Amino acid sequence: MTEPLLILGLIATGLAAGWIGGALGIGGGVVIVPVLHLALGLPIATAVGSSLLVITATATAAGVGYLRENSVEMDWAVRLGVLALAGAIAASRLAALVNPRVVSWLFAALLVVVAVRMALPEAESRAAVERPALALATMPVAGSVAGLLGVGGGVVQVPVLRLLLGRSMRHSVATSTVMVGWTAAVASIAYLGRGEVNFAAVPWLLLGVLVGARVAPASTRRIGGRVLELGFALVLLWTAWRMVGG
Amino acid sequence: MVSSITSRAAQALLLLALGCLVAAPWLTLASDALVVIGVTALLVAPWLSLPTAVEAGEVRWPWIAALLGLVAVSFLI
Repeated sequence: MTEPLLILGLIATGLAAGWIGGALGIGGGVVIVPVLHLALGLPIATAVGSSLLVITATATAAGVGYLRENSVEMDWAVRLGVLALAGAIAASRLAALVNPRVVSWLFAALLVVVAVRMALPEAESRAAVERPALALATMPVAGSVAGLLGVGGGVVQVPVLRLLLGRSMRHSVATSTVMVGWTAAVASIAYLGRGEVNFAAVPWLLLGVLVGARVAPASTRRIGGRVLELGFALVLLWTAWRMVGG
Repeated sequence: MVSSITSRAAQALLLLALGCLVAAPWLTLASDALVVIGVTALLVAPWLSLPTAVEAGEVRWPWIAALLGLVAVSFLI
């Protein structure tokens, strides 16, 4: 996979994933997995494994920035991370036993959830009372989503930090980002072991993602975040339909 | 101080990983070695945030031990 057009396509996919991730605060996995699976025809497991390796890098790069500005609550990141890791390890190992069609359907369901959340106006409310036990109990689910579907798990972690632990949006995203780096790293070990990572695609995706995330904030200001969210929600719904064979 | 050093180390590892993985398809003789180095750098980089937490005294050791224990388990199973 060293053809110039293919490389440009992968860089463009990475750019889109990084740009959308940076502009809308979602992980690049919702872009990378469908493109690798639907457009390049890679098996869903290889798309998931490759996505996890790319997400490891992007979450680490973003996490470094959040650490420098002291936005990460490491106490909670480690406590929640232990349980998320357990879920990610279990799901990434069990993924080999799951029918690829089931993974496609689950991924489509995840896309619908993300699209609906994006289309609805963001509630600014935070939890008045912390529920740490419930927050900890949800973490294996977040880890499993990452390990099975190749996305970061922030789609579960950020709402948990906000709504069950009462953290601000900024602290929730920062803490979740560091955890996503950890869960994606341990989940990708299983896919690496099974040879389900496409090393011809990963570097170009990485390159695109890192550049895309950098240019995202300026372009968001120009276009308008709400227009982007609604437009991307429609794209996600269409992708979900394609993932289930539409 | 630690956060600054570890964040620079993490960024350096990410650049190393990117360089190795981009170069691997073209340097046929060293291709496998470059992939191994690149992937290792990628998998190590996220954990460099932990020393920052330890230095700040924010995290209790049993939780760190549990986290690192799970990482070890993920390599073993």
